[in-house]
Amino acid sequence: MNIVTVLRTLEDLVAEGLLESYAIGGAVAATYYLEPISTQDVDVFVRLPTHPVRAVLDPTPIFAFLSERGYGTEGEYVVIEGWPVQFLAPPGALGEEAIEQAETVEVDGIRVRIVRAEHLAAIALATGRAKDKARLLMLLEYPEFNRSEFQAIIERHGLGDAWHRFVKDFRLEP
Amino acid sequence: MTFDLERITASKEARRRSLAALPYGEKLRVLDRMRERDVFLKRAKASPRKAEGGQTR
Repeated sequence: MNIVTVLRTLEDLVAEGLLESYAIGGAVAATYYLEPISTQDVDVFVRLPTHPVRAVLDPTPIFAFLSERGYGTEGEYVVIEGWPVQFLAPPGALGEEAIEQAETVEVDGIRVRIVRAEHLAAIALATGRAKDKARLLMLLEYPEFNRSEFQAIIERHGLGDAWHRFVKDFRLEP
Repeated sequence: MTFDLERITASKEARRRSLAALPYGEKLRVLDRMRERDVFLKRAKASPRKAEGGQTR
């Protein structure tokens, strides 16, 4: 297992022009802000380069590049150094914004783009599974979590009602 | 051994904070180890002898 190789590979995909941009999401991103969170996969929101002629975005070159490096697929995942990696189209405007405003950090000399804590929280709120709710509660406790930025994000993306329900369900301070 | 819930909770919270304060590179290595453990357990569940590196018939 070597998750750093996954991160290096993402930067290689950008350098090769096969990805326009990306941002790590899910538990691997949350681990940047919180304690390490056990996970089965690496979620990566990707923006593919637009082709001058074709209107449809085509991920085939990415899979060809990874296959040349010996990485195979398992269902919807590409397995890189033992890690199932899921390339996800950004889920709507919130996902687009999360990629756009991702934080760039350096790990072992590699540049890595990570979804900001406030966007991760908003995505968790929108997704709404039990594990997302647990993650949202953890992110709200993150000392550097910017509550006003989070409020602005949920208002911008129509998540106000979901937030009010969440606050009520978990008896939080609004 | 203690059954003082307050102390247990405080100790867990302190552990969480110290793990959260690790550099990201360190945390990623912890994720690698967690994943290795999960894969081992999954294999052990499917085929106990194989996971131990033993012979299967």
